Amino acid sequence: MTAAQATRAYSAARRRPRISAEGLVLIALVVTVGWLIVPPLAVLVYGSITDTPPGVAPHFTTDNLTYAYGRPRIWIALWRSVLYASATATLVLIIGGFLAWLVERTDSRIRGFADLFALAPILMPSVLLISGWILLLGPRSGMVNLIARDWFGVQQPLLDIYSFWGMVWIGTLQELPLAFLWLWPAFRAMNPDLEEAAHISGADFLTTLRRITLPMLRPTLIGAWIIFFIYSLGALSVPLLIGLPAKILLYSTEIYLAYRRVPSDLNIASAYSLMFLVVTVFSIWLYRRATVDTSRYVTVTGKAYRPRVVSLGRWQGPSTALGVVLLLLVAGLPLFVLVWNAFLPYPQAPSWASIELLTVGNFAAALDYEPAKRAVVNSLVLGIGAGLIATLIGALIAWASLRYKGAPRVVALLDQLATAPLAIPGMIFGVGLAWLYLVLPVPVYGTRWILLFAYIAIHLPFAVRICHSGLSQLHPELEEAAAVAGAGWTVRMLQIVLRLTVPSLLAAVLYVALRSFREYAASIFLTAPGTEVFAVLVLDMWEGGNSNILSAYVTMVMAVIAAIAVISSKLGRRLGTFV
Amino acid sequence: MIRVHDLVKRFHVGRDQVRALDNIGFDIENHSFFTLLGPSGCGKSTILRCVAGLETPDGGDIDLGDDCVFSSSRGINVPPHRRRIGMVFQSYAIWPHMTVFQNVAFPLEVQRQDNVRKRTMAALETTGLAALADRYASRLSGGQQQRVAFARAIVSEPSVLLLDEPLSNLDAALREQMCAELRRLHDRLGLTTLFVTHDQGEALSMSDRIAVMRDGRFVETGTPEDLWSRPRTAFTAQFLGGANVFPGEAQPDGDGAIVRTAFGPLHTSQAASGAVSVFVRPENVALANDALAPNRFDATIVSQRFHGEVRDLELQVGPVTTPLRCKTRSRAVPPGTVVTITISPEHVVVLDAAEGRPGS
Repeated sequence: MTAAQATRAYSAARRRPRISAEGLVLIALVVTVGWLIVPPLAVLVYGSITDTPPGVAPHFTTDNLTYAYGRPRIWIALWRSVLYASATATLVLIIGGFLAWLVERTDSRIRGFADLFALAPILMPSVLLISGWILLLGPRSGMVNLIARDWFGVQQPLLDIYSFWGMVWIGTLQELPLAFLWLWPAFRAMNPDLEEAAHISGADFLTTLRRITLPMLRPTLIGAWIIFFIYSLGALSVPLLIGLPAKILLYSTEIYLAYRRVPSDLNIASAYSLMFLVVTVFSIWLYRRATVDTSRYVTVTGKAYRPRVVSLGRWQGPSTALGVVLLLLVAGLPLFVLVWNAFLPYPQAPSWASIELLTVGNFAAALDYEPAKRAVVNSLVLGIGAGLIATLIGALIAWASLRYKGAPRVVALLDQLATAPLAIPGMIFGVGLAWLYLVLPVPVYGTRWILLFAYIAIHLPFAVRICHSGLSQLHPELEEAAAVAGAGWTVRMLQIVLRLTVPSLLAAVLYVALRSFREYAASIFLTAPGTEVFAVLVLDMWEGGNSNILSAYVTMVMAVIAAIAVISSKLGRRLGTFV
Repeated sequence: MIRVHDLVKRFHVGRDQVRALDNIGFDIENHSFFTLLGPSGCGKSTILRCVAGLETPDGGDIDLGDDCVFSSSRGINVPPHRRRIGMVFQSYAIWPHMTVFQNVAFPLEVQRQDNVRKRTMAALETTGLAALADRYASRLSGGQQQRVAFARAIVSEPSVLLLDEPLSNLDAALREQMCAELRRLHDRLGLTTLFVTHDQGEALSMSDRIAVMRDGRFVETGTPEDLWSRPRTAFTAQFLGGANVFPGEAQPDGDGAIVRTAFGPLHTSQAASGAVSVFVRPENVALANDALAPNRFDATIVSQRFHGEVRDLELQVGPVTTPLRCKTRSRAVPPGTVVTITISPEHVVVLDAAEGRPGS
């Protein structure tokens, strides 16, 4: 390069006081993420202060709000929801925390199959888990109660799933794998030196646990409890599948009923949703308060420690047993009962007689059912689409918050916007999106697009999180070296950043796709004939169908998802050999 | 030629603004090796990153050769990928998904230059890596990775080379060797090098000029020999070689002066008067009982550390509690022993009393 050329290159750079590529991308991100998340929530306010259905010239009134919150019924439902969510969150925290501790901080043999807990929610979308447990503990045709009657002559149902504690039980099992995934890294990232220092100072095991370990983990544990609480509060599957038949109405059930009522009352549903929004915003505020000063706690440094491992000794056996039992409860038993029922014409306790009844007729019936086939295809396409788009957005947001030096406030806002859905129940997005696209003159309502928007918005926080952790492993100098070598932003992103974070990007795509596949709380408000999705269809089939055909259908779908999950994780591992 | 003028950089720490760089200015002649030396956090890496374009200064001007790459007054800020510089990073920043060859060829490829293969191989030859060209860079030893980083920095024949503590991750023996090799390559390729380090040994052995830094400012600038033998500030004297520094009151005495310090009068062969500081290098404090020597004191040994070649003693002279450091080849002396020390007057060097004035 001659001096003249060099001068030209510099003056070319000087003449263009343009917005950089990064800047343009940032603006595009703010617009996209803002559009995905803010209007669906803002429209709820609009909905609750009008009494006209969407698309009609609005009539503003406070009647809805006074009606919605003027009756004791809704407050009772709210109180019941809070009780349900607190009980579930507490149980989940205790069991999940204990499990994470066993796996990460002891020499328990559970270590060997701990990955299965991470895999369980993939194999067992919550709708299936509940289906399995209804088939196990249903008062009349549940397998446990059938066995009790047939084998032991117990006439009354032994255990009844249709009760408050039945709901808490299923809710706990449903969140347990998530809790494990949430708490595992916290135990792993803990610096063992801090505990060892306590031991050296003369503290015994329990004193160390009480004075050092638990206080250090406190922000993590409080934060986790709040997240589990919000999840349970916004969950719809347990309240619908178990609560509704048991006539135990939770707050989320009330929103659903207001929406499903004929004629559907979106105004009341919005008014109810507002309260949910208030509760979750308050919870986020609590969460932030609990975790805001985590930097004070040395726990999470991102450094890989080899934590000190407690030797279990004679507790080795019981700990393994506990792991096996929990695995059976969250996946094994419901899985077994689903597959068992898939091959039976009607619910039966296992016996020699029943083995003669085994049939593949259910599978044929399920394959004949057009909406069932459509739902699987829709869910797969939407899941992968949402996974790709959410990962693209998530990766760019993660990059901006880790690396981009300009406009720190915009980046912080973007980060908060994108992680907000973590604490916003999916069903609220469902109600809001339904409103929004009924009002807006664009042909989105009733199409797959509205589901895609919902899945991207709801799962964006996970995409950001996974990409963030992948990208933070990448030394910033790797990018800077490319910049100094003469590579512009686009080249750096494609040839260095993208290439080196492929494994975590793939993980994000897969995770979002699988979560979208199991999503029902928002979908239930957004599907239409032709755009059925898997989880909602399963809920519908429960209401009006044959549980054995349902089992066959679900068994086939699970096999497909499991295959996809295994293949893509193998692929990810191969692509990840350098990192 | 690298020219930096009035460089200012502020960082935000919570709500406070910290001046990381306070009106820094220096020129680096073509083909010379310039070092920024200072303790960690003094801002030396920030200067380097501003020159590279990886940080944006809050004010000032930076010229590389004839081109202005940053100017706050003229609103110029050329992004790093258009500055055409070579840089070696502290972590080496070798891309693990590329081979040695691909790593080194990358600058030529993204700058769309000709003869990529030939020039890459030439850079690999220069750094002795030709045999490893097809190896994945993540499977190299520390020293080899360092060579790859260097080859990548010079492959596009930049006129300016930036080195950000490139030797700090190497073990002692390898560091010595790489020091010599880096300087040899600098000379052979005719580069203009800006080097950042906190290690006085590296700085002294490699540089043409050194700027000693502290708290975002230059303390003083000079050749290694000047800074070693005639530092103008106590900070430089202490940072380079850990000198003993004493404040005192000087009275002219013949050609030299007598400086009254806390532990007694010190004869110096330099002329001085008034309030001054003097320093004495530890290796110039002699354990000898020469009755005729002018600077002769009784001292108690407080502690001693063995360093192999020399023994590092901490001495207490009279009632003064600040220890006097002494390097000697003598045999072990138990703490508490009283010894006699002498300091030759030409080794008592007078410093400018003014501290931290910008260097020349």
